[in-house]
Amino acid sequence: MPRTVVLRPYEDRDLPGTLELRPRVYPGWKDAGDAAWHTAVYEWLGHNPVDAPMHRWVLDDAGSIVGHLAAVPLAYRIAGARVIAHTPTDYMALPGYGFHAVALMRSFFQAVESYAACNVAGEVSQIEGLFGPVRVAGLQQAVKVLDLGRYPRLASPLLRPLASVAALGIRALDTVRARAAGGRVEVGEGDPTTAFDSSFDQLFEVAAGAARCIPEKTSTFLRWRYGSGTPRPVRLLTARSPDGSLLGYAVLRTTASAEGFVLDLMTAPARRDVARALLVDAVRRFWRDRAFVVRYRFLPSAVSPVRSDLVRLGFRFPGGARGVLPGARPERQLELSVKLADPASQAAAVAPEHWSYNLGDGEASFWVP
Amino acid sequence: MAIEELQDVAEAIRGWLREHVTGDRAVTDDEELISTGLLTSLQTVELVLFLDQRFGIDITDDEFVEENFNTVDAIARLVASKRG
Repeated sequence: MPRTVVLRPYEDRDLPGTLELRPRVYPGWKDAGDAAWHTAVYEWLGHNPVDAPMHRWVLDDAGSIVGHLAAVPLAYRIAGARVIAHTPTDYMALPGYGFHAVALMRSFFQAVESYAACNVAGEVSQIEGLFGPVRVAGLQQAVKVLDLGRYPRLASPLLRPLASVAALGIRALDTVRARAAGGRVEVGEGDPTTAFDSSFDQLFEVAAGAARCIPEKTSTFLRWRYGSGTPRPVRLLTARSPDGSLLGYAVLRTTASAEGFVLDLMTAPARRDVARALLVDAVRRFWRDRAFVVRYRFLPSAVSPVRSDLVRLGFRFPGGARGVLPGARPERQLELSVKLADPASQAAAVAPEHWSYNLGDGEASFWVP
Repeated sequence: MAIEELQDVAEAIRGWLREHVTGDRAVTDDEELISTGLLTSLQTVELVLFLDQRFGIDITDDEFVEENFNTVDAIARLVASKRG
């Protein structure tokens, strides 16, 4: 029987419908049915310090919510100017509503002035592609396996003791690597609920001088992104000079499934020694957290680690259809795309070499479990 | 646009649908494509790109509505109106 589907702005009364929709669209996603967590995410997004509105739409089929899309504003520094761009998020529609799913995305591009997003390459990026964004680059995917014995999808449980012995070897090797990485940079742990002070603003301004395109990671943003209200608590590492000025920092998260993520790692320009010290300390913390793997997704820049240093520390860069773990899916390929209203900003932003970008800077990481 | 040309456009759309959506099953000009949930989101995107490449037309935001895409006949009329 023909349906009448209405695309309209989200209203408070749609909360139960969207909470019910998520597990129907993503039956394989363990957290899809976690209503309290998703409600907390939207409460957190509502406190986004960027002075631009968040938008949300739903597809309503005779009172039943069958699709949803939100637009989250984030600020960037592009060629010296502040640019607010929205990112599509929490995009979902039931099978059978394909045309309406595209119409949802069309509403997004009609409503927002500028767009920037880091997406897993696939269906969503193809739909977004219809509305004219330009792909900037794929994020580098650095992966370091720590302990295969803790890998949940290990083919045979009999291999687990063997893998754990191998992990002891990897850990010993990491100790040697850490010594070889050397350096005199002291790394300490900060409390993410209080640590983001003006020294982070100073570091951001220095970084923005070296990278023409960079998410606006001021102390205000970082407090919101990683501070007390964030839906997933993180660990913060800082490297400071003897006079107390901030040389770099790293934001880490170990998920409930024991995956370690370097969500953000930024240093003063060309401070490879600081990046190495932060990475060495990050790996050490992930060992302590009993993570089985470390993932770091980023665009290389003057304020990021250098690829060869990551390789020396045991990271690998699997690409294409290869997974880095036995039986695992290929690593997710994340792509940064932009469509900025200002032509000069767009011209600057389409060049990958202009960017500093980390997974944690954008919406793609908001849903890291 | 002449009726013959309109029929050619409809035939091209039917051919595309057979190749990319329905397999061997033929699609009639008045079969509902959207309200029956036949088109997936990716097929919708590919159909728009096909119309652009095959007929040189750019679908505007205002034209991207269910009425213009729900049947082969509606799509053919949209294409015809844009080609003049």
